[in-house]
Amino acid sequence: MMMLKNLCAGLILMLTQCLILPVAQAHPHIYIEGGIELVFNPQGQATSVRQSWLFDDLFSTYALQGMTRDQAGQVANAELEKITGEWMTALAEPESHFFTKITLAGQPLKLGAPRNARSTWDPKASQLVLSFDLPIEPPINIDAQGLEVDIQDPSYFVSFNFKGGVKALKGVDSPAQCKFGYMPPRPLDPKTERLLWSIPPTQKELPENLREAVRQLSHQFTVKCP
Amino acid sequence: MKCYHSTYLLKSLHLQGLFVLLLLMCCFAFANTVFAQAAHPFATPEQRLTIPTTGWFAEFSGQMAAWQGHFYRQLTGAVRAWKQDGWAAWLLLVLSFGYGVFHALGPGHGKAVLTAYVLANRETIRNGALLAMLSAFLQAFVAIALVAIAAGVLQISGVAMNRATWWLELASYAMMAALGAWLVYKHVLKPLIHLIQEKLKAGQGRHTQHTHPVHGDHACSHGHDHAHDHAHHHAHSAHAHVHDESCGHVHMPDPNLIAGPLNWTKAISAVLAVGLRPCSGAVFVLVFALAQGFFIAGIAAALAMGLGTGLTVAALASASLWVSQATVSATGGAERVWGKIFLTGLQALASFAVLAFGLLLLSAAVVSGTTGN
Repeated sequence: MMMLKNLCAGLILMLTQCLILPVAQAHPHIYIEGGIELVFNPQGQATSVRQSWLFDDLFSTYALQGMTRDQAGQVANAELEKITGEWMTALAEPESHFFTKITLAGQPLKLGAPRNARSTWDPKASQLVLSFDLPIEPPINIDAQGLEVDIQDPSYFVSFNFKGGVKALKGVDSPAQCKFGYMPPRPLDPKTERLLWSIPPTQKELPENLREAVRQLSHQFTVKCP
Repeated sequence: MKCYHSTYLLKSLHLQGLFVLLLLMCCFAFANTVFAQAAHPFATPEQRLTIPTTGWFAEFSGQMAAWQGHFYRQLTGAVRAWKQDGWAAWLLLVLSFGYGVFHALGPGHGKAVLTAYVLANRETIRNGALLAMLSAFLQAFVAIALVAIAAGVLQISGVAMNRATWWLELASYAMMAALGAWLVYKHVLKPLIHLIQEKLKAGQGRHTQHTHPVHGDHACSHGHDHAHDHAHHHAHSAHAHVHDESCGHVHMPDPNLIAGPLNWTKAISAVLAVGLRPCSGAVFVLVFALAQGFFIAGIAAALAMGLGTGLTVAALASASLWVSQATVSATGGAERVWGKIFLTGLQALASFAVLAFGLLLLSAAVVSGTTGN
């Protein structure tokens, strides 16, 4: 009966508007354990956001599949550099943009091309980590209103986690008065969550009621330097 | 019994050509509604299309996908545990089976296409279940073979494996579209053409009675065997025809005759269309197990996933067939007018569904293959 209803719903859509959009599956396939560093210059201005992403076992193994390794299981550097390059190129696309949004007092900041991108593979712990810096151009003074870093995959294909909470954000040479905060993705009520799991991620406009819910799903790191 | 004149044949050829042209135009219209989509930065062999649904069904399939994720995250731990302790094998098998069940219940096209196919073809419940199991196990075997050859023997990269999966995907969707087109032709166009021909013939028959006295008013009550391509040795007695005077009667073969043994040529194309593209979860676990030097665990997991998916789709397909049969019985059986209308309509809808799924998936795969990867 469910199938019939599904079938009929699909057919009615098709026949009436001929506008069924093909969309990707909307549930996580990759799990990332994240870490963030906010880097300051001697003048106390924020210069870049450094991230490190630890991939889950299944994706790590799949990504490294077929790469030449030495006796200890270490993957050749050239191979790691190649895949890092591919990932960074793809991540630079505006649709995902490193899954990172940085705002100062609510205004999006201008970010430069990423630097120091590299992937490391630890064969013993079987951990694959991608790290990179997103430079803030030009460096900015963070005031009391604060800087906010939002991390989230809008397509919901990657699921981020920051184990240490606010400790996952570290300040490098940060001025003493700066305070760090972290807001984890707010748990959604079960109904909204189920709806989100079924929303096609390539659908450009989310329904109004879900737009706020999606913002609620990002990891929000805040830095205030009053 | 081919009682129509050669001009009718010519006319019918024209008509069929027109319908094929219309079908092709419709195909292009569909393909054009498919928008280009950028590949995800971390490309995986993952299917790229689902029919957007809303309401309780969307909620339901979302919940299924969430549960599928819970099982998925525990798979690597289970492979490692089995490596340490043989008794932990059951854990991996249970998790994989659960993953397979919720994978089948979650958003995805496989179950929908298979169910539409068995409805369109009016398979028996037993055959429907058999086809579901076969395509699920084919999916598992394709994943096992793909990883064994591509990763185990050729040692190609993950990116190259995405490419290989993409080709399998393309073949599977092309087959689905072809199957759909054939179903639409057989269950919608052919009966329609037949009906129109008879109408024309009826009209012409009256006008040309003086030149073709042999045909006369009986023209329409003959010539009904050429449109049925099932077992012809059952001859006329097998058809549930309503021989009324109005000539507008509905031609329907007796469903009891169709519900015979499985037609393997058709069945194999349906199984291939659904099962040729491997499930990404199975591929991931197989690659992981291979890297752990414990490929047998991956094979066991893939087969357990196949069993879970197969049983679930079999249950869904059987339930749909049962509902369809029960509806027919409730309306007084397949020989009655309402039963016939229901069955014919359902068959037509299901045929269009297979075609639509095939075309949409195919064009989505083509688009993602040319923009991404």
